[in-house]
Amino acid sequence: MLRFGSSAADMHEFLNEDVFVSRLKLLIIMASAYLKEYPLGSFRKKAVIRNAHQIVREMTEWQGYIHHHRNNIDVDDEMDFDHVFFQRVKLLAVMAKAFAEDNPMGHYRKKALEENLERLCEDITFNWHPYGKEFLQVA
Amino acid sequence: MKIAVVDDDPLTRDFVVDVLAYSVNREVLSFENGIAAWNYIKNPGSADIVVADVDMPQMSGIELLQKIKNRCPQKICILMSSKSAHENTAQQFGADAFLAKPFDVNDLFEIVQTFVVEIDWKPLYQ
Repeated sequence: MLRFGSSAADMHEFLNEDVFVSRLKLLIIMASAYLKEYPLGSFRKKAVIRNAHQIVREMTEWQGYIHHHRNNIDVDDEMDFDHVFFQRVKLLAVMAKAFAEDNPMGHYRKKALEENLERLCEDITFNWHPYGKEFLQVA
Repeated sequence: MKIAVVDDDPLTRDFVVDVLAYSVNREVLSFENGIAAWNYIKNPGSADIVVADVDMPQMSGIELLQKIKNRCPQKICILMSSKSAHENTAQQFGADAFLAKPFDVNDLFEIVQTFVVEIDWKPLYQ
């Protein structure tokens, strides 16, 4: 039997915060894959739209703080950080929904998406690479 | 290859469905309890991979696993749980994998790589 997920000591039920952070990582991967021109089939498009919608809903329902997930936790600007961070997440959700709905994405929109992704990845110290996920290249 | 996700917690269930549907670019079925899942799974041509939570009312993931392995042992069963004690039970009853909660997107990607790509999609790469 194979084993995946948390170590035995860290196991617990999913909290809103766990799902929010996991969904955010998924949205970052979805947007990165789009920028790398990985194929987006109809089910992938639907999954992107659902994830974008869900992340905004969970963010509103959770009303928690993200600053303890941040890269530079010592900086004393939690309120500003949280506000800007959540605005960036909302922006990413809008951007993801746009490309999944086949709205035109020109050079500057793609550049803005790329910059937003870079900032969010930096904020939550998330580094995604497609190695070992070649299935994303299959439509 | 068809995938079904069974969990009474919609937060977790919907998240797993979205990650898997995105990964395989196919529809992923979801069920909120073991009985509804079993009524579907026992039919020919149903899901090849079942991802089920252990703690569910009416029919637990372990009971569902037992029924599946008795009737269709070739189906892949992955059990999810937030309790480490369930890991041994899952192994005892023949689960193919154990997914300890909370898990990450990458854990689900690894599951896709292991059980979908390696088994079902290999011909696509050859």
